[in-house]
Amino acid sequence: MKNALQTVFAVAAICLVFAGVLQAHHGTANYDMTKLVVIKGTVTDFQFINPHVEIFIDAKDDKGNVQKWQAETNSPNLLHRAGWTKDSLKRGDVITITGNRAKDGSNLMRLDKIVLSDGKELPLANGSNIQ
Amino acid sequence: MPSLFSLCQWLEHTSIGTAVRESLWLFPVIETVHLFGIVILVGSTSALDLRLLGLAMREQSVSKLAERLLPWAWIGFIIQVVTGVLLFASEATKCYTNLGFQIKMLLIVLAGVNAVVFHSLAYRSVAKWDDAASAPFMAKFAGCMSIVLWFGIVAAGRWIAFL
Repeated sequence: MKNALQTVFAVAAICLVFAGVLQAHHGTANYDMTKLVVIKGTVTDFQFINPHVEIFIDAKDDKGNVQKWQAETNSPNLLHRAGWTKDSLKRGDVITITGNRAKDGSNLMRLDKIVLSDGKELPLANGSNIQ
Repeated sequence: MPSLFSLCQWLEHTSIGTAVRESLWLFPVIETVHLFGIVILVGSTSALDLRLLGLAMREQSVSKLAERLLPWAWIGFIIQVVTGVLLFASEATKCYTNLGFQIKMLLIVLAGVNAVVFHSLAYRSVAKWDDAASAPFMAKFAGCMSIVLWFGIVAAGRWIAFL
């Protein structure tokens, strides 16, 4: 009995150590929520999919080189209630996206705001459901 | 022989994979059922595990408890396989490279091995210790491993979304 309990605690301790490793990994894959980046570019792909809608754009950096960006946002269900459809964006649309960049420095962001070329903003949630 | 990754690609492009991925409500509904399934599965296995460890229901005979609980574990397992395959099909290539998913699958295999080893070794002699509050070490070890592995499976599953 006492031995079994000791085993349980020992394994639990090992799990906690392991959880620390996972936590660290999660940190690098997470987004830098302290600042926002603004990217203007052309939509190359728009995936209205679960669990997160994905927007892919080609943007030009300061030197005129094309940078590929990916913006991840809410679920199709949530965006649908905010007025989106799978045709809300199409290839070739010029958009300006603002978001939190991935902490690992890759061209991936968690979308915070999206504005179309005519200046119209597409809301990411309907009123009470701000994510 | 096709690679595991090309199999994932194929699965993702089946009509079922596409439907789950693109539907407004299928994914959250299946995910919800997947949560009910894990409650049924881990709830029933953990109850038996606690009995093996001598931490709960010590006055119940182990074989009777196993007889009552294991059918529920199987029902939960079947729900998990069906809903899990549907969710996997919708984003198979993402899962393929996801550390949380890889750990989860590894732990499921280990939980399966643990269960098979328990039933083919320790549980064979259950008649000898059926009513004893304290089970033999091998049975306790299996119970302990089962709790740890299934909790690990739930945790790794939850982490798929964050890795």
